[in-house]
Amino acid sequence: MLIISTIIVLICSYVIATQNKYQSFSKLLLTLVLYSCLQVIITELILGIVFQNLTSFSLLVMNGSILAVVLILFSRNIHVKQSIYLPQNIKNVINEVSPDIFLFALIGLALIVTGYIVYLGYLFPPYAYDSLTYHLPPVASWIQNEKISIVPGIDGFSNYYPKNAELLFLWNLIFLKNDIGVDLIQFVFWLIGSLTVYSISKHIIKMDMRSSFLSGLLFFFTPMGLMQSKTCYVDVIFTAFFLIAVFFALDYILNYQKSSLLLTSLTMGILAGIKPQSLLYISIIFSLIMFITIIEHRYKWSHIFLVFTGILVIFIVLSGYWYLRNYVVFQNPLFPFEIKISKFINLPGFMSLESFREYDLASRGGTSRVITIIKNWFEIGGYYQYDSPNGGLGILWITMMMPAIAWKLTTAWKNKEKAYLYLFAILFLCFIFQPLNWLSRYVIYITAIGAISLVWCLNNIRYKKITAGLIFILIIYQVTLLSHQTFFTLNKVTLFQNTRPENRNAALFTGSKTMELLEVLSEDGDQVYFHNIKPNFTYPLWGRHLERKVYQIDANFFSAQRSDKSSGTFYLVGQESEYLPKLMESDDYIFIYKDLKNYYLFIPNNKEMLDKINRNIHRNLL
Amino acid sequence: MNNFKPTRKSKKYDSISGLSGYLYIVMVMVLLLFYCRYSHPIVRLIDAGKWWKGFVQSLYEVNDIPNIAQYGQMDLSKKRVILEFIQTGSYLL
Repeated sequence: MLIISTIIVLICSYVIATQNKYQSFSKLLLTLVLYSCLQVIITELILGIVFQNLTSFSLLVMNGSILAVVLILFSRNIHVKQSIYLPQNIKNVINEVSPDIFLFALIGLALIVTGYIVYLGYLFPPYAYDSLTYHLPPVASWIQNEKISIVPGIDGFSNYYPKNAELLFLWNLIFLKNDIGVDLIQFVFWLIGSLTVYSISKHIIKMDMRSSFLSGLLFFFTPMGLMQSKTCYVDVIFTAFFLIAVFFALDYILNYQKSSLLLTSLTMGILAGIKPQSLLYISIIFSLIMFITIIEHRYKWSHIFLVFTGILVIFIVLSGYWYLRNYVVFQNPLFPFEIKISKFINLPGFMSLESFREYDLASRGGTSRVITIIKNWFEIGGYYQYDSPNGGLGILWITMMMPAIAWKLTTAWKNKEKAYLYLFAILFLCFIFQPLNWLSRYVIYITAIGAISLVWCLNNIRYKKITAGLIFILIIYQVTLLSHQTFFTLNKVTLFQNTRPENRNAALFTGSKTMELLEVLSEDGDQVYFHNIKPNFTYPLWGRHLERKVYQIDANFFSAQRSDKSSGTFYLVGQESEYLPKLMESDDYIFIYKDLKNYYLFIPNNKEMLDKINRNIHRNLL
Repeated sequence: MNNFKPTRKSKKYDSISGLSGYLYIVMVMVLLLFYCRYSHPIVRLIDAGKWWKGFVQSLYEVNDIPNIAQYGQMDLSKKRVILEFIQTGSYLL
């Protein structure tokens, strides 16, 4: 069903996308990706919020219906011929690339890395910290309840963030009913991000195909992007959409492509629904568009007003739900951030500017921002990690890309190369205004300008072969380090290779024996009640095939006449849970296990449940 | 169209590119030295090499895994995991 539904969405997007003419195949591809993601997000939001019937079948039916409507509407204007360009484009790329040994070697390396990541994606269930605590639990809960809502009991302020990226995870989970491929979704967006860098090089900076291809490849090898590609975080998805928005915005400004303005708005609409910080990025892109449009007097004020209104409407449709929900529930669209501007604007939240600064400073270990960035970029202090400040932009960034940016920027300033200067301005401003820019995962996009500048240097420098060789050696070094220590938890590879697929589950990454035990003792359709477990690894409670139903223990739990005590039910509470003493004291529940993380596991006190536990212990453990 | 290839006619452009080129190389060398001084790339590579050796061996050898043995069923057949990977791929397709 996943493949059928995805093909339906792709056909739909293709038919709509080919209503316009594109100056390049890569732009068509990016439009196709954008429309597909829009359709996925919108259909899921409608089914999950309006109809509250978010199932794989209803998604298939809805997308099938959309396809039927699209085919009827555009039946006379379907451009199948555009697809003929695909083999032609591939042939062009091969012709450009094949005589160049350096490019050929890099492509080979990229293919090896891709194969390796896909293999790891297959081998490992989701394991990253944030994936298990707040990126995947809402998705599992939405699938369980067939509706989109705030999920109680999930730790951290990120639970109240907009969740367009999680909706892309949902597309995979809801159809496959297992998490075997969900942590490779970001990798798909990493490839799309690399394609966007290629498109920016080719159509904005106007480099030749070989150079553009090289820019995309150099960006692809950014360690942080590759590391995150194998996790259910959202930073890579965010980076890809941000670069797509930059590409379309510059296409509109420099190439006078009016259609690109609509595509920019759509991309920014999705972007706003991934993280609240994206509002800052959108403001920068939007300000640049407005500024250039106004100073160049290209359009009338009425046109600018229309552009502004259009962007606002698209934003409300695509991401407004998340902010509106927070406003309705918490009286603050930007909840959990407290906003105090004057006596009249005082929006409640539990993360004030001051506490955010303290959090920021504590995360940096008390050192200044500049020192942290320098340490981070020089990779002083530790090995790469998918979410830590220990490196992440790679040796190539600090040693070759940074000087290349300086060189290219000087030349671009002298020669008044608008394209490069605008691109630099957007990325640089976004980097400067990003409050957590010392964390590489929030600023991966900065290497895009580095990659483009480095390729320019390579084209201009006298010692081309030596420089290309040095770049290749440094990339090999980067890739080799990726495999070490924290690319994924390396000591687990052997473990997972020798474990049956049905036993490879996220519980093994929580460090909690109680979670592992739950996997063994429970059966399909069982229920798990949890409360206040720390760390808040709630995703494994659903199981790898989402086979269990999960609920949070609330105030009515003990007063209600519970019917679930006779069936397969487990109760998992943390040491600090207020319900722990009650469960311990009550004769209705039996305490069976406690681990070093202080997770306590209980079962109902009845014969049926005890028999079941004994049966599963004998079957699985003995 | 390639904007970046310097044309032979433009002597001014060539001279800028030449001087900047040397400056660029000097900057790269300085930064590389700084990186080597503080990030110990050789130590990192040796560590990575040790792990790679272990990883490659793990594809062919049966390892003792006390952690999972407590709860999960172990299948110790060699190269099985590669076959599964291919099977899963073909199943998804």
